[in-house]
Amino acid sequence: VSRGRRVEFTDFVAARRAQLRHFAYGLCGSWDAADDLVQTALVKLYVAWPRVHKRGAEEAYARRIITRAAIDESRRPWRRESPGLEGFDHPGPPGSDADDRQDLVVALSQLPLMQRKTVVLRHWIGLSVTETAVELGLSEGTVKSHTSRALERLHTLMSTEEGRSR
Amino acid sequence: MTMSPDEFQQRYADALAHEPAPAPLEHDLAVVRGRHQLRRRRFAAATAGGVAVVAIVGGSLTLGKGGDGKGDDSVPAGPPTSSSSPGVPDETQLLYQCRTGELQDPTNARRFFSSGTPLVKSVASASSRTSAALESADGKYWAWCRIDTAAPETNEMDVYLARGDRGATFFSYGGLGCPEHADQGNCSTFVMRWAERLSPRVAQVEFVMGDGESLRIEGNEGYFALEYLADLPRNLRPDRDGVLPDSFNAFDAVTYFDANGDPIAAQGGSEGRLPGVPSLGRYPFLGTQPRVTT
Repeated sequence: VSRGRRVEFTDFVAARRAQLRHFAYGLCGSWDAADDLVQTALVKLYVAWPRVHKRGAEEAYARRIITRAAIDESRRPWRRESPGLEGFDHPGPPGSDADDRQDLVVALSQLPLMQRKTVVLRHWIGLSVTETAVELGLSEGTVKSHTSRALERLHTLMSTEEGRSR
Repeated sequence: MTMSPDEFQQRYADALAHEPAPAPLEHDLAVVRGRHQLRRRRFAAATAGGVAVVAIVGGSLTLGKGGDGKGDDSVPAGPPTSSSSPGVPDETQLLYQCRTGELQDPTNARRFFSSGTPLVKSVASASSRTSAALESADGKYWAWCRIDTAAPETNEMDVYLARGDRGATFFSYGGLGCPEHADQGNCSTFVMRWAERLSPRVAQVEFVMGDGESLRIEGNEGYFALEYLADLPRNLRPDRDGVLPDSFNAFDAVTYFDANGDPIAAQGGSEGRLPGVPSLGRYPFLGTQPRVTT
């Protein structure tokens, strides 16, 4: 392992780990799971560092690992298919640990997966429609429609929740 | 009505306001760097063999032998030098490699082996990879050991408390079948690796794999192991970063059978459930506390 690689990787982690953690939290709704996902992504990123770094795609690569692992988990809670998420406790149904979550994250967990991904990438990470489309392998039109529906649904979900709490 | 992007950002930031402190950065980096420094040292001596695409090996082979209660000394101190079959370790090799895997918590490994030679309850191999379900000699722990003779730097073992009985889960590894150091973007195989401890009433487990194949494997007192390696379905390839499309699952359905061959739990498949058959929650994974605290 070259010193240059170590330094580059360390710098990247120091600079971007928090952002990756926030991103993972939005997708999976659990800080513990987010930490596991980020750690998994960092290990994979370290292995792939030379080719990924050469393209300047470090963060996108890590996000994709996180996205994929989070989706595997949430798509079929009975079927975990991800490498070595040691200590990953069983997830409850959406909202089951609402005391530990914030409303938006609860609402996000109720969105279809692609809507969740697109809205977080577009409006939290700040990717453009084109960048989101490339990252997710979708058409730009599909990104737009998923994002729009996600925002509509989030508005409905949070309005309902806020109405209940009054 | 819709939520504006600005409102989304504000609410997202609010949700992060209660963010718990992350682990120290030094810890994360030490884990990542430590693993791979070790990997590279050992990799120099490893055989970087190709993946045998045609290999599909499932099922379990009971190799159990009684623990002798001799403690740590009963475990070989160094790597065995011979194997009965290239690529597939014999039991002595297997246990040594499980114990010394580089991607595992050494404390867990020490505890697991401290009561004597573990029982190999179920083992499966495909090409260079082997998964084994082990039980500690004192019965307190069980473990899923994953080794790869072509990439020993990836050997690891997860240790579970044997008394664990919370909830249902299904933890497996599914992904590309090529070695980690290969060009993942050109990989044309996939792998599923699994070992589990279930209720002893579960005698067989049947999978419908992502390529449409079905296979049924035998358990040993509730212990199962599976290694599956096959070609990706036609026209399905990873992207250049080695990420498979979300639409692909390494397996699509799983069914538990009792000793009479009757289905007793199932999940997945196009119907999601088998009519009249409970979900997997009826037969939980017995070991949901993988952290063995120091």
